Amino acid sequence: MSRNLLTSFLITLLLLCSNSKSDGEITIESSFNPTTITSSRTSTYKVIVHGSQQGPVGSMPSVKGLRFSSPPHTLRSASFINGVPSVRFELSFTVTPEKQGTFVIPAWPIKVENNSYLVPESVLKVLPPNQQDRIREAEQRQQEQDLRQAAFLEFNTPRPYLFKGETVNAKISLYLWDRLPVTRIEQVPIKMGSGFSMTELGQPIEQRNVIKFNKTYSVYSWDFGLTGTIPGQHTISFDSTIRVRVRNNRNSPFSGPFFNDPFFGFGREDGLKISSDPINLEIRPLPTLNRPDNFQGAIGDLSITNIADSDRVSVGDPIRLICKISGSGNFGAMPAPNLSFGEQFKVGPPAFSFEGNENTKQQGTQSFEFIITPLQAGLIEIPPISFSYFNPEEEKYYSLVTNSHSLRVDPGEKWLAPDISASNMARQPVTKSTQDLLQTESEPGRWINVLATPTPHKSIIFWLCQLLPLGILIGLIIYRFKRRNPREEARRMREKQLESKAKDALRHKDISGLHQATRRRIRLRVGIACNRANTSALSSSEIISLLNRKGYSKEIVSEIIEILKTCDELEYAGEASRSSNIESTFQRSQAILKKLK
Amino acid sequence: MKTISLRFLLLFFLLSCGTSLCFGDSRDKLFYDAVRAEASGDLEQAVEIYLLILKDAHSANLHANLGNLYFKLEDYARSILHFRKAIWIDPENRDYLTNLSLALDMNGLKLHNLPSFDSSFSPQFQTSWLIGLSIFFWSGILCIASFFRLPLKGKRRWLIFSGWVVGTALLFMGLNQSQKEALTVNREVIVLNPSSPTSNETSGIPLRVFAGNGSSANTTVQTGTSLLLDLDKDGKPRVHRSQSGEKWYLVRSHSGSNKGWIQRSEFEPILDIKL
Repeated sequence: MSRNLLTSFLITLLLLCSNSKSDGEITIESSFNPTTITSSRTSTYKVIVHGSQQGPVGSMPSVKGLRFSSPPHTLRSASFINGVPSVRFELSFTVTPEKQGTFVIPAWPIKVENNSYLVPESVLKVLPPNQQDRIREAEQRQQEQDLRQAAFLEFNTPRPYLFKGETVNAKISLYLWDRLPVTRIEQVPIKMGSGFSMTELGQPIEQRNVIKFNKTYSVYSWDFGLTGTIPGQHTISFDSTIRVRVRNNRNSPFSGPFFNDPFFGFGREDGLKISSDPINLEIRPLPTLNRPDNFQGAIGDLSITNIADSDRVSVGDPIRLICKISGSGNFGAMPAPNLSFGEQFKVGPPAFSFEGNENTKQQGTQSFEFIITPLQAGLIEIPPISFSYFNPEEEKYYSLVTNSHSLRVDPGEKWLAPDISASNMARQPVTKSTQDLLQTESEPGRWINVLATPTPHKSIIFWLCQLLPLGILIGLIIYRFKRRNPREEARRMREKQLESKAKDALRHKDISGLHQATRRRIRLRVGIACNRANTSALSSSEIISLLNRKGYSKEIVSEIIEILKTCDELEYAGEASRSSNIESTFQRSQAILKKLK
Repeated sequence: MKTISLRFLLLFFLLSCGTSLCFGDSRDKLFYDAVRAEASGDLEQAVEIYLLILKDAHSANLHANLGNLYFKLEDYARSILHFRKAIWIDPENRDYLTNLSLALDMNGLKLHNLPSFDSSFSPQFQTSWLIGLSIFFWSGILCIASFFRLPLKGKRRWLIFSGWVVGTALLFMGLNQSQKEALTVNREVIVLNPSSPTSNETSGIPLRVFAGNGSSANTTVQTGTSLLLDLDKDGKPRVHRSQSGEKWYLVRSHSGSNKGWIQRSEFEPILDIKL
């Protein structure tokens, strides 16, 4: 109790001192950290306002060749330096160079507590990339290429142009690298771009162990018919989505690497969108020169035959006339040929049927079945059918004519009206006898006790059976409800991210990055431990106060103070010579974070 | 203690087996007696034996044989009643339907309003509909509850959900239709001549305006006609007990156009219902 009071008193005293200081001298500092970088690295531009914790107001001058992150990272801090209380406010910008050279940020005005000050000039030197940078860039490029080659779509068409209404056989192939833990294809490829229509994609053809780019792939291919609809220059591409198993973001109860390995079926599923390279395709209009009058839009390489199912019938008897168009062409959009048989025949509407590749509808035989009825008796002729099509390879129109069929039509028998008087005859009396009855059964058959309709809804067994799925449902709901805690999940994810950042910084000997990540991790953990929602704005003194209030031991608090202090000092000190402390700072922070539960 | 319980269970098992065997045997025995009586030409005796069996059991063949006997005795109304009962038990037997058609024809009636017992909505399929509905409904609910985090895209999600809703609705409609059919069969009665089963003097039974012998008739229906019992708001048959203790029931035709009161002795329900 007395310790808490003493701590509160000290913090109040510190704040009072800092306030009294803020009334006094305010100084502005600015610097780049580091001051010399290569063109592939970043530096931090820091503006420090000593003697005030109020946010400064002003606009920084733009420097050609440097890109500043926005908004800047801010930090308020209060501390004792050699027994003298000190407060300060920091603004940090991440600076990315766009070219090499020496860049000077001139002195620029800033307003603090309604007083104007000048931020001193700072200089940053950007050197050409060194060998290490080049290696890293090459690695990054390789990684990007690997990712692109892990799963990709390949789209093929036979020609770089189509005629309007023409259908061609196209193929889309999805390449999946065997080392990519794909669980399923969530979305089959869908067409992006207008000006085309396509047939539905059916079941894919699967090929295993296909070698490409020195990798082994499983390939899923879809054949389909692609039809040009709007003349002009168009771009076509395909998008697909697959589900892949990736590492878990949050801690699993089995924290070992095996249980977090997606290849063993652990981890979580995530969607990966794959796009094919866009292809430019031209859709040409059909030529009007030498276009036959009976051309109805058939495009391809086609032939026509017709068959009549009978050569001798009576007047009024129907005949099936089957007209077959075979070859390759736009069967999906092909209308039936026009039959102009005059008054000798009555022609019914045709029935369509297609035999061939149903996926593409580009190659096969399209049958049109007409029912024709002769209206006159005698030896008459089923006239030939004329049909025109456009050949896209030769870019020419062709007209075809089928054979004619001779047909003998008999006059048929005269239909006699039924004798109506017969149907009006008086009903004869019933003369059935018992001999008409079906025989008596000599065996009793299956006995039943009662004649009644089944009433399953009144059965207690039925309702007891309903309790089982109901129980499962309630259990599922409770399980889902218990598992769901989005705030906790978000916190865990953030903690994980910061931990990986700190590890990366440690690997790359990035002192500033490590200390930033460490400070954020401590803040976040303190926030979780002390049940505070927004922890990013906490100052060091607030963190200490919170920990004291929560009742953490003096050792833990003092260790945290020390780590925070080290972080503050090392982050902005910019001394590469102190890089040997990084490892120990990281280990210490890991240990103290474990204690902060 | 354990030995006593085991002995008791064994005794109970033996008794129940024995009872069922005895009863089963006696029914069969009586049935064969009735067949023999019919074969020897004693039709009345055969009917009596069959009616005796009917006090505690039914079988499709028994009702069909009884229908044949009544037909031979020219009591076509009762013949119709028993053929209907036989068809209820064994709806797929075409012979019963032929005989029923013959009996109706002989009685001057037509084969209509006959519930299609072999259709998908027949009352016998109620249990199948209910089990199907229950399985489909719970499967859908449990799938939704289990996989609601599954990242199904909008169209597919709605398609599956609509499929489940439509499927449930269709199964519910099937069950409802089947229940309606069951309700109709439960209400169905066949008009009979009460005075003498073998006399055919009275060709029609009056549907009275009021529940009493003195009341005038709305209409007269032929014996063997199928009618429906009128139900009150509790779903029970409308009944009136006269001073002499006779029970009167309100009945109506299938079309609903004719209705009136009829005495309990003037009709017989097709199914075993409490009246």
